[in-house]
Amino acid sequence: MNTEFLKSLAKVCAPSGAEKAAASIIEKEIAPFCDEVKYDKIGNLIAKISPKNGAPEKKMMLVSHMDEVGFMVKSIDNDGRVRIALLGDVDTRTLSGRRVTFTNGVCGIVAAKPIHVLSEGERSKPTAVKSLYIELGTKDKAETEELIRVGDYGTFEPKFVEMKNGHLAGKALGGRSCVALLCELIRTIDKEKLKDELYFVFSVKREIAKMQFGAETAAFTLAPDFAVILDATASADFDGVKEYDRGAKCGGGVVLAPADMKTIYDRRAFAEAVSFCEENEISFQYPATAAGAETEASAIHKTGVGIPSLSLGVATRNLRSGAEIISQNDLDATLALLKHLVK
Amino acid sequence: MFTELKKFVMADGVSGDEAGISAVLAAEIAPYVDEVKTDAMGNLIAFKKGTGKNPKKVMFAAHMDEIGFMVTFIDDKGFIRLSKMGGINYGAAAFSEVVFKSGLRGVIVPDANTAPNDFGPNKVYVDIGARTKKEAEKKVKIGDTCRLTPSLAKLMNGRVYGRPIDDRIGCVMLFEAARTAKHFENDVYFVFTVQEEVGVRGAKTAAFGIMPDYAVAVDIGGSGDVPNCAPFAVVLGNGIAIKIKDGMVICHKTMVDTMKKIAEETKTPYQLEILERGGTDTCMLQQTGAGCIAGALSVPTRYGHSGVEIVDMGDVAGGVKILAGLCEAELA
Ligand SMILES: [Zn+2]
Repeated sequence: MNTEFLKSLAKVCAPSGAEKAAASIIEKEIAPFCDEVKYDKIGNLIAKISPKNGAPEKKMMLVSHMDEVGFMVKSIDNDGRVRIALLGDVDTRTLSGRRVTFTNGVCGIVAAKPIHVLSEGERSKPTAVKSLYIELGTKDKAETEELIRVGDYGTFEPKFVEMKNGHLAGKALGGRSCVALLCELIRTIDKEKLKDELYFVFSVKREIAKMQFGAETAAFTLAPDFAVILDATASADFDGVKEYDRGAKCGGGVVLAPADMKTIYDRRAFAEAVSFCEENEISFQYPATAAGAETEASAIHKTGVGIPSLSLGVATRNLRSGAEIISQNDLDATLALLKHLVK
Repeated sequence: MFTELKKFVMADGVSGDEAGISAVLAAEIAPYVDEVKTDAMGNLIAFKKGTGKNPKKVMFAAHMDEIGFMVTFIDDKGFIRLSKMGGINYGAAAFSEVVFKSGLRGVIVPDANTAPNDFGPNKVYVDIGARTKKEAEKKVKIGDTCRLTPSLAKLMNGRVYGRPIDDRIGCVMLFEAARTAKHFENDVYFVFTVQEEVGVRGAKTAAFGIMPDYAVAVDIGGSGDVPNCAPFAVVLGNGIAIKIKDGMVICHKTMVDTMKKIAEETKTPYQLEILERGGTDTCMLQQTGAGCIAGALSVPTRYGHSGVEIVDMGDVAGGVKILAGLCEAELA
């Protein structure tokens, strides 16, 4: 897959609740190829593509979330330091020392109590978020407030890195690669041959899954016959993790899960996807464990009278950290399966 | 009812994979209703049109899924790792026989040197006798489901034991109500829901599709008369339990009162159930869409989610009378 658009997506700062920056570049990218592009009330970007010939047979929804984990400014200390509340399940082990960016472009560094003054007990644990702050180099509260305010959003600093063997690294890359895949699909769809009506949903607020899923309202409004949910899947192919606990393997192909913690995927669609991959030598893998995993399907499949759903995962190392790692091989495999699913 | 229960118990239907039990139920109930259909989630909905002057939409829900396992991984030696579907009691499941839909048998065992208290999802595997991964893969695919071998047998005093009585006993009650109701005042939907055991998922979409005025979930409950159990007023053999509340719902007073009244008129013994934890399809029936007047019947049950669940068929018969009464009653 061409990764040019993914590169620009990776640079965007769009934490849950402040997805506008991502939404605008996606909208610009896909608008020429869609019959309709609009936003719903909570901010999901919904694009429609109809078949050129004849009435649509079925209504299909393809979902990928455009938000990423991040943080919000909670308070500002008198000395100008910024205290934050996390948005989503951020891998907090990786926070200290990180460069971060606010949605208005202001940059900062996550700082904590210096390591040489930590007790043995403190050293062995990641620093609690309440003991972290963001340093902007400002001298006091007033100066900080010239740059940012309570309620402002931020994320890890974007940096796109190309590594050996088609590996790519950057913040939010797992989720953003799914967005890029849907955009690539939109660009290349053959409307002449298309039979189903397609709705592409670039959803908001996926990373704050404990509270809500933005995609749920889109599913309710669209009431499709079938839904395909793309998302990053944790890759844990390391020594010390038992084979059956490893989740997916970065580079192992598109991830097909029969079920996860919150959803049992449509059995027929799952079996068909597996045999399509087998017959066409598309690299695919099963996540070895369902533990901990969930996707937006958890809300989508129970919406309205029920929406049979299938999940395609992009195996992602360092999920929800400042530098997620994915493999181009997996993107190619996922795209090949996606093209088959769209009829 | 024992014959039907046995038939339902033997049919397979691990959560998310309920086609087997669904086909059996559809065939059994079809003669007593006007229409049988399946919704997008897989819920089986049997509809009987009412003849009353002012018929209400009444929905009965019993879940047809059962707890079980899904295959997630096969190792080099052909040992199979599983994900749990529903609230598995690993202490009760370990060292038991499991059966796949194909009829293939295996045994579920914990990793060597695992203390009984540590039996859990990542500590047990299934041995089907395979020698290699290849051999196992010929018989079993990732995503396949299996369950503890079903069984049903009679005990003293009209009591029966086996598995999965949760909630095939509820399915029997819906079937018996459809069969024995003297007439149908109301439009009645007998719904056999899917995926209850993994988090009351099927009931939500079924209720949304039907939008009932009144709804009753029928499931197993507990029994407060076994050694060392927590205090609980419902006991085996004292009658069907009308739910007042559980951990997920407070039942609508109108529903509770209506069922009590029917029980009293038909001289059916009943008990009142108050649970502080756990829940059934009831919560979804009450809240979905615009909401409805929802309640529940619980069959007093000993040793739920084990391989030796016990119920008293006298309690079950009482529950059927209340359900039939709701089919026949003029509801406000
Ligand atoms: Zn149950």
